Amino acid sequence: MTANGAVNPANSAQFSDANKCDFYKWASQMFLWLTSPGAEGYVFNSLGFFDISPSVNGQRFFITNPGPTAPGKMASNNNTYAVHSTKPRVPEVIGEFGQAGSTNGVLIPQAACSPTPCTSLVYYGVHVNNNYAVFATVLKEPLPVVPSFPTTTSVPARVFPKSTDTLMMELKTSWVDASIVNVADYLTINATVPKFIKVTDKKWTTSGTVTKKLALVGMHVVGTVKGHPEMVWATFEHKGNAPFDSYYYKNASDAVTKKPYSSAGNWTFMATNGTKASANIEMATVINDDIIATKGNTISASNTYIMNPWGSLPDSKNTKDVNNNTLIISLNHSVLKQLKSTDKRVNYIQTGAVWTDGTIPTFNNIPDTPLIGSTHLANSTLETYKQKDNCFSCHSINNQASAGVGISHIFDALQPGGRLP
Amino acid sequence: MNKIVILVFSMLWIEAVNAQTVVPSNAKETCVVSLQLSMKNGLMEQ
Repeated sequence: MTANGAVNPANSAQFSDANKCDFYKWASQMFLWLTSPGAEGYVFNSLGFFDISPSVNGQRFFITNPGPTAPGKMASNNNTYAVHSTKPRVPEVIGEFGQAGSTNGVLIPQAACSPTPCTSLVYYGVHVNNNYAVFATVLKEPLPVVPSFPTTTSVPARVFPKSTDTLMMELKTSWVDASIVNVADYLTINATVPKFIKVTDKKWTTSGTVTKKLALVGMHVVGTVKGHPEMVWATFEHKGNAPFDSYYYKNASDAVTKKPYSSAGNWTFMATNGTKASANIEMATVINDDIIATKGNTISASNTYIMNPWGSLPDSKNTKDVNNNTLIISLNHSVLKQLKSTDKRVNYIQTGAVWTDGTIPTFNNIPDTPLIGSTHLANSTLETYKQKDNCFSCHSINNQASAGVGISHIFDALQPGGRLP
Repeated sequence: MNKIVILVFSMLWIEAVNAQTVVPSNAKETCVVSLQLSMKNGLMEQ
């Protein structure tokens, strides 16, 4: 295919869940589509999607993406992204129990503070597709309640206009200042991000915004597929982010093979030859829009590694884990060899996906709702300090009587405004 | 001059190390995808 060329989306409405590979294929096809060129930039940054604002007094707003420009050109309008820590600090629908990501941790890349002053945090964006926006908008009106996200294109017309085959999609993206990476290897975008001013080694304050070219380091691709209102939760990372802990997989001869932990080489979030013992330590958090060092630390870059390779427990020889690791590695190879070496997407890999049998997990019975796929999945840039959890640890509902849309933490805070057809 | 050559080589080698180590190249082929390509831009397909 053409380098950086367009890929079609997976058909979520006609999805077949015959085996695990189908879910991983869905995720990779979607990632490549989302990062395909659209008339206004990447597809996920086009008019088919909305950016979601940070929470303001518990409310979030749809932000229309930039308007059309010449095909293949980036839009001149800037995006507005927020730091991870500006997530709502009021209890979310389910967050007060699981609180995945709600430690408000700040992640700083290795190269961002050398030399000082620091030039980059990790910045986060939230995005939904038009189907999700319409659904969220309609559902806020006094119409019959639909308890879960649709898994088909057709639901009663009074409630929801017919959607496209991509069904409901929600994305979360993570970015660093493009100046600290080899920009040729990264998908980039222009964005407005919060500007921080160093007060002391232990406190930075915010002051307005600054426009930067950002480089993509991570993306959650989440969406419903036929028969799965719990959504498929997949994640992607740049290959240069952080090393994996050790794991086992099957080689071409069907022999179980160990891939040991190694931090040799150059990583965005791990010092060369950095140790696991020194890693995944939260150096700073955000409190009232200030960045504050955690006890005994200064605001600084920290080491990061992926604790659960391919979403499996490290060093596990469990057949299920070994086979799952092998599936995802195989899938990545299959994808990557179809991309030209000059395609920037060749530098991104799927690190896993997780789903259930179609049951929306409740917080109280996670052990009773078996997770399938990468059951210990986290992204090194999005859940750096919560890697012992998995997506459903936080994205679950109180009980089976609760609205299934509660698995999406932004849903209740969203104010109507999705584009109606 | 030699230092420059060594530096460039080292940078290339580091990139290669990362690319090789993240996804093992000898895994058993158990999940293969045939990507659905688009002749249009992606936006038209969503």
